Amino acid sequence: MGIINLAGDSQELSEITQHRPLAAVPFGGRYRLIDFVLSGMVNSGIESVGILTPHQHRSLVDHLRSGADWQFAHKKEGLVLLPPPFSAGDRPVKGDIRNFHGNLDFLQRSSQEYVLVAGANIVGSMNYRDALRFHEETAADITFLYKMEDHTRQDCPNCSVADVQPAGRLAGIRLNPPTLDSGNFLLDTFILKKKLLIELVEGGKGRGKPENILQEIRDNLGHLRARAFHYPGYVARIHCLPSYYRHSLDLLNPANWRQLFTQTGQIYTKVRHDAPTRYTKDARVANVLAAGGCLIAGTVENSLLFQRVRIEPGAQVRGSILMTNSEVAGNAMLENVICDKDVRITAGKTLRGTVNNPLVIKKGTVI
Amino acid sequence: MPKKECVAMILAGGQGSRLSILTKNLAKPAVPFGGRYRLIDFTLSNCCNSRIDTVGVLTQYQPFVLNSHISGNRLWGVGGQGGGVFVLPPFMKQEGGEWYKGTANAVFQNIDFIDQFHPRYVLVLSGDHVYKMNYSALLSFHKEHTADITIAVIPVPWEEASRFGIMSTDAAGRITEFEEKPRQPKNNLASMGIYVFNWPALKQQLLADERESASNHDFGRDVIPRMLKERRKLFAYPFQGYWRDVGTLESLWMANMDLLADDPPLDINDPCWPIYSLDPVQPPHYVTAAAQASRALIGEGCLINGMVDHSVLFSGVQVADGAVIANSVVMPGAAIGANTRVYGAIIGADASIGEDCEIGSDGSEEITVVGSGISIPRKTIFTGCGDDLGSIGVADANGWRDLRLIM
Repeated sequence: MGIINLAGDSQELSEITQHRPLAAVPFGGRYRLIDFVLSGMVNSGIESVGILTPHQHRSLVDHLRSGADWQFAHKKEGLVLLPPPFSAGDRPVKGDIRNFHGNLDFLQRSSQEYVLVAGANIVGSMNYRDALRFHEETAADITFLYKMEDHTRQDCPNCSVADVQPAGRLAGIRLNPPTLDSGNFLLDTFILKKKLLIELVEGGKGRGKPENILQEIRDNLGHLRARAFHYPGYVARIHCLPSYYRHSLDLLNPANWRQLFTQTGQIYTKVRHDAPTRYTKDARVANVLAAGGCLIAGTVENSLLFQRVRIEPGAQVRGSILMTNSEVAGNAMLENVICDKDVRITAGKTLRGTVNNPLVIKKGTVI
Repeated sequence: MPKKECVAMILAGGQGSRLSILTKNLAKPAVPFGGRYRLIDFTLSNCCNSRIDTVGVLTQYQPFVLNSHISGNRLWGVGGQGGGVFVLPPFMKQEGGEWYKGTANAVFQNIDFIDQFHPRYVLVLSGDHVYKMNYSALLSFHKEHTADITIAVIPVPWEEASRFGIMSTDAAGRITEFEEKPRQPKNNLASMGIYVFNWPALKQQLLADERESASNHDFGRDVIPRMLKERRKLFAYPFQGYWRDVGTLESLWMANMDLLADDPPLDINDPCWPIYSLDPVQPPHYVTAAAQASRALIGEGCLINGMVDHSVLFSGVQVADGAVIANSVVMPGAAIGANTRVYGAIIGADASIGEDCEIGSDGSEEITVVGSGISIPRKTIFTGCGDDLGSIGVADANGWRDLRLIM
């Protein structure tokens, strides 16, 4: 079974996550971040998935509905949303342990032996079968997935690393370290027996500390046979605004596009019914990823367009991400800008961000 | 079964033989259209948007593609409550069974299906027309006029009137005359093949028609003229808007091109009247830095490296470097090789065209068609249609050779 853990998300993408959890952040022209991990679970044959939701989960419920668009509706166990427990007062409960604990019955009821726990900030065409095989073959108690990357080129410190020894032995994990000395980045994804997960949750809850399951695992790592599995395929870790922007534009590299969309399995998402995108006689496009329902009558370069984006004649858009329903009127110019949903840029305006610091326009803004 | 006020019956059994090789393996209502849809999506979406939630689809000719297209989309089952979309092929009864002999006979054979819902009205529709229409407005018109049948009509150019069922009406809109495909049309109000019947009246007509051995068991040729002769109340509902019966290669191609106008006569992207289809589950399409796209509809999952102008590309189409596609329709999953030029053509689903080919010719009146799944080797020059072959030749090291074998 799979658990998608959104309860402990502390990563922020400035205005983009002001009104939605990270898992519901639009990505890649037609998806939400959660689609990648969820599709990966479906494509890996996982038929029962629980989603530990954060407090703000309306946009997730709206996106996922019955799970039918991910082929869950006809399966025996299917997709279950696991909302957080109530907390006294207005403040949400800190950390995710209490959230796990409040939903222990979901784990206990399941007939599955293994649990794959994953966050939603990993973009990839995920295949978990090899990792599970590795976990079984090494007779591990717990196996973490990691990806080796150049740690001197990281956007921000908001990530965790693994101390990996020969034969995939996991000697330790460091959560959000102030400085990075290795490039073995954790993909916030691990496999363990259901029984062990329940023990860890109950142990952590009993002491009231720590607040997060990962901290609890780190503290117990010495008693466990822990292994690390290097994930071979394409993955992008989204943990801050610069990484979101960089990985979005990276999809314009055909090699990445191919790896993400044509390799392991299909990426499912909520089905919409937009017409094909229409280009008019004035359209000038180069290096553009465009979802359905757009109308392109201006110039667009090196950009991603979500559904139903309108680019009017004379508008120029470069290095930008325009989310669903955004509109750019005639002679407006956008460079390195992220427009959230329903943003309208009126005629003649010029907006500029930089590659390292894109300008984010909040959902629904008219400029 | 819960009672329904109106049940829709969609005639979807037709072969569409004038669409040539495009309907070799699928029924005409399943022919891809508009970069994302199949023809029947327009009629089914109209039902859905008009809140008609009980729909029978009468299938006969090559039904597999159509069946999977319809049953793959949960969305048609709007409203629930015992409604839904029901695919109705001919079937065996205790006293035997037979193929659908005509449009009226197809409905006759499904009288029991309709009776389950105890409807007051039955809406008879065609599954191969491209249009948006609010059937609930048609139904209200029918009720207001306390008609026995209401036929939706549209003015057509006089020179084309003899291709249609042509109506004459009095000042109140009551039909006084009806002629199926008249040689000398007296009017230009054409039947759209969209009828609302009072179910008890229709049932009686169908039973009578079945006993008539000389009958073709066809609505336009038999049932409507007989009801007119019996002085039943037949009304014409004037429809304003875009409507096409894409029965020929030319009209199919033309209707696709209509969608590419600066201000298209049919808005397929209206959020208030969505056209539903089966989602291909494909990523956004990608247009490379070397590519160009103008006056085009491009579906999801396409990879465009070449130049696309005034064309409709369905999902998953691959256009290699240096290829040029103009005035064409390319159906799902087709691949166009490097430096290949495609002009004025319809390329069938999953067809694969090699490098340096020339498909169709610039400025030609005739539409070139490549059937679905066909592979065309590199350096092929091909115009015409797969079944009459046209002028086909392959220029390779061995000179020209006939392509007949690969068709």
